[in-house]
Amino acid sequence: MNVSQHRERAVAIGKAAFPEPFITGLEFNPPVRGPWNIVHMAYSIPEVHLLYICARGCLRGVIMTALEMGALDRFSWIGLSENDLAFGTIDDVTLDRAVEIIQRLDPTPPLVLLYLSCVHKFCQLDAGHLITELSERFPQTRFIECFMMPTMRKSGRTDEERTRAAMFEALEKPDIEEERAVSIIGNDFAIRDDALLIEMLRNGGIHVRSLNAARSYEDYKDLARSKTLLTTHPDACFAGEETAKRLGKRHLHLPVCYSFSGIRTTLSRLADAFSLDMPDFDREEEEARQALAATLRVLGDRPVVLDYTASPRPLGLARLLLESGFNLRVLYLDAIQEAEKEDFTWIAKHHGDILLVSTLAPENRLAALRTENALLENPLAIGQKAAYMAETDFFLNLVGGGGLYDFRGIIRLAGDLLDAHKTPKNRRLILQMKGFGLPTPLHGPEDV
Amino acid sequence: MRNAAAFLPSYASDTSGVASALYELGGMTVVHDASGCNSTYSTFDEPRWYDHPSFVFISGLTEMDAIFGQDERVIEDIVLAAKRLKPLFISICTSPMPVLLGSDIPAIATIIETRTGIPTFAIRTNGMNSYLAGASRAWEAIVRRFAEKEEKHGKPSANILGLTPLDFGMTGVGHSIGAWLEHEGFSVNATLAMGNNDSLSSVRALSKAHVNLVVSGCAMASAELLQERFGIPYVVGLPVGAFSETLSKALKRAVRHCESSPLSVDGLLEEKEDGTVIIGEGVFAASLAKALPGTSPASIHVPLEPLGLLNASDERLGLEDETKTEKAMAHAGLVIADPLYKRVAKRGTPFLSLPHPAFSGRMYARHVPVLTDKDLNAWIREALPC
Repeated sequence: MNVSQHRERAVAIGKAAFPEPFITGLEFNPPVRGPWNIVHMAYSIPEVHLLYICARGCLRGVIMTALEMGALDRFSWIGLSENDLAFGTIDDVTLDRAVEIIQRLDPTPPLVLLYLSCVHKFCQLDAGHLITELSERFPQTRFIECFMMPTMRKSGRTDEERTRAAMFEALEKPDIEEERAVSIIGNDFAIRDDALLIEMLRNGGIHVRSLNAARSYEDYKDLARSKTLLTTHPDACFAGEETAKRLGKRHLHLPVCYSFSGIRTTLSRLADAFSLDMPDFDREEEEARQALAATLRVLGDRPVVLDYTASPRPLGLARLLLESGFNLRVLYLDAIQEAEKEDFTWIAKHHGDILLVSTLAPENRLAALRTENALLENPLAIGQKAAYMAETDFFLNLVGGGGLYDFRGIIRLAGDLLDAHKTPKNRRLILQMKGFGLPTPLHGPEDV
Repeated sequence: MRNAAAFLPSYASDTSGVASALYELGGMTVVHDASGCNSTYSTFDEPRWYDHPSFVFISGLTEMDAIFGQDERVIEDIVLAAKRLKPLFISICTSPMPVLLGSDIPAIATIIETRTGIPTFAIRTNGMNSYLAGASRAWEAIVRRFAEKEEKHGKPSANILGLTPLDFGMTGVGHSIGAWLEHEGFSVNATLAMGNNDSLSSVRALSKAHVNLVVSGCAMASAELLQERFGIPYVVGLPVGAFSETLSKALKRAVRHCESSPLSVDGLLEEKEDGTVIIGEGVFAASLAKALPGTSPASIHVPLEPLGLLNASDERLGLEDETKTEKAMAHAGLVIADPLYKRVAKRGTPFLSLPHPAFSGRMYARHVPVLTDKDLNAWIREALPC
């Protein structure tokens, strides 16, 4: 097969290179705001205060994110000036201003996530010293280093992965650790309560804690009481490993998965880990198949397009749709995770004409240059970027997997897809709301 | 506590200012940046992003670019995009990292222009200054490059310089100011740079005007350049309330005597017990202060670069300092400012909200008033909570 990286904005998956099908150049930013960023994630910790230190241009986005989600009272910032960089005063200035800021906060927060930036990395700011100094001055507050370093985004772990890990550094070894308890960490969206995974744990008498359910800082601290840490978001695996290693816990990584056999394996691992009965799940699997088949009967040949922000496993989801008979035509993505190699290879082999379209390519700025749209008659989109790129009001507003998990998640997905097929949405408004599921100042057309 | 805040947001940055200023002119703006600048700009600082395509991109700087200085990669990417999208010009500005690395953006611009034949220029930014600095340099660059000598004819005409959504939102303020100018006997020659239908040709024809009306500090540098190159005088101020009359006289005097009028803030910087304090961009704040009814003018607090103000070197101007802002409001009888300033105002201080998109983004976008259309007395009466 002739595969190579492409400078074009689109390539058939059968001819695409793995894991980076495109050579990225200048980058376009589609007006799609649902996916969470490092600010949204961090505010999952109740009572946390965020302190960002960077240049104004970089700060503005995170400040506005906090403002729009109604959390500006737990956000502070320190700007950088050219003098700070030129005269080597960056360490002192940062410390002095951080002290002044913390002194102004009332009540003093129990936890401050201190976000340093690319500039600090290249100026070699001593983050350890900064945190030590702050910890001595404010002993009632825990300070943790976090990261906003987009320059390093292609150099090992991403800011998202490192932030997810840092978020649990304030957990401490408890006096009593509960063997029959699990803490689910690292998810933007809580796993839905009806998931088989949750049902199995509860039926087995396992106490389930979750950061998403934490309502106070004490709830957050209590996450450390569970012997087992469970992660399901691929970007949270590192957080689980690091936290478990530090606290001497067990880490169970059961990533979101869309293959029926994979779901069974996942649930089986859960059962093994807690010595639970493993139901056969034949009925649930059949229900999932039936739900997808019922949706397919209504959708027929309607073209389906999908983007990578809809799920942490977009190719897995794409494969499920293809194996179920849906007319999936376009995948919007810019890179593919290593963990999705098998699904990529399967799709490339069996559906090599499916188009991969880069979301970053500058040509996307002009609808006229999104030439694949001419071939898509009345498409149904899964994900916000897909809706924008394909210019359709018929879309499933799914971000980051939406907490859907195992067979029950697939059943729900099939139902939601049917709703999306039938009912158009206000694309212009929905796509511009920042942080899916969070408060927004946008309520009507006059706001955007 | 300069350049830091426990409770307040920061103003939009210089890179947003560049992109906003050039948005409607048909060019391509590239921010040499890793990631985030464009998302920030297009989400919070650019209300036109969804409906009106314009070519604003980031270069996608990586660690390898930073370490090895791979300028050729950036050049190639810009050249490729330009060949595909065919912009009328290319502007390149920078976030902090390229500044730290010493990237030679003017040289990069020259190479790109040579390879594409498209006018290309660098705009000096560092991501550390406000939108005013960025927009100011962007318009200065565009005027320097494209404004041409044109004959003036007909009745006196004026350019409106300084319109961006960052200061005025999408309120149609340009039409309101245009209508006022027409009423005062001026035709509108061009606006810089919002609401133009013919993009760069408006810039080319700027010199046809008899006078420039500068409605935001970010147009000051371009106004001075137009005066230097084409002898066009400028008048600084926003036509609001009673100040409109002063401004009209200044415009007519400017045409008659070819004499410019910067905006003086004499008497506006002293704190007055129980007085009105206006916080915001200098030209807007000073114009409003001079327009408000009452015997003593309000005082102003300008936490941004004081561009366009006669007393720009006054050390009381230009401090983005939360504690100083707090102090400026401490003894006020009325504060007029973006609603987010309430966060550091003393409880009970009468507060009149005047949303400023460059500060609060799209949070209060639909509440941005067009003061140039309003009877200020009525506006204050209606807007002040009882």
